[in-house]
Amino acid sequence: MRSKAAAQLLRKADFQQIYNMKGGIIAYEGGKAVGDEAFGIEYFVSGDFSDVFRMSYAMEEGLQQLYLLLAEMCDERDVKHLLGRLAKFEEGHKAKMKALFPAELTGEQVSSDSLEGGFDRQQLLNHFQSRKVTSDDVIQLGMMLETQAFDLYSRLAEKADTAEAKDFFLFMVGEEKQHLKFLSDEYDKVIGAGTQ
Amino acid sequence: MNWRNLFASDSNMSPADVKIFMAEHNPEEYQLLDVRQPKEYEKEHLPGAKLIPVKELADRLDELDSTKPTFVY
Repeated sequence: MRSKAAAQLLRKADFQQIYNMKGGIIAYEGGKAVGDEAFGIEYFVSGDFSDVFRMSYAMEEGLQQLYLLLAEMCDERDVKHLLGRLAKFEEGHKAKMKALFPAELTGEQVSSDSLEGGFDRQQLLNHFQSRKVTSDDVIQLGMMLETQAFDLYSRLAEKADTAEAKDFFLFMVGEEKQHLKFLSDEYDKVIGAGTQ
Repeated sequence: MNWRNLFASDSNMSPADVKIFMAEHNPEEYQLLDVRQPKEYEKEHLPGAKLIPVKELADRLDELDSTKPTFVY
């Protein structure tokens, strides 16, 4: 009912296309993000574009390392292979960022234990150390992290105070969307393989 | 008053169709509006959604773009 009231208010304010999502978020089957509006944003407090860029780069790097670490920990060949591909994907992502903003990565590197979307890496590793890692785990984890990153970069774009930073964050949103697409295609393959 | 409002009925969209729309469009082309309370948003929300609790909406319309397709939940 709240969304219906909101939609009516928007209509009165001459919004041109308003859609009320039937059943609300409970009915939505897909990746959802967690955390308040400021979640993860603390890593980007500096208004300097160079710092913002490096922090994003460090987060991509952190995720790549997590995938590689998980690959080392697990001994199933298929899962190792998938993790390797995901790590390579992040590598490609980093290369793209470097090519777009070559000047931003000179000088000292930022190191970050935080992953994309503001998650803690050690916590995730502890989680997996206690049990076997499956392809399904890897895809679910990847989707969760990329969904968080998509949400974080969207919020950062919204709050960005320079056009340069806004464009960069929107670029990152687009990149995360591609990662998510890749992961959901992988997921379809895993499901397909399971039913053959 | 916009004359179109006279004919507009509430447009509902299923979550599955919202998901398809999101997959087929760039995030800059639409807006997702979460009108629930901050605690509910914190627990879970659609990725990229903007939080404006319904009671604050009338005062915060300037934060939205009236020309973009807007999905409310």
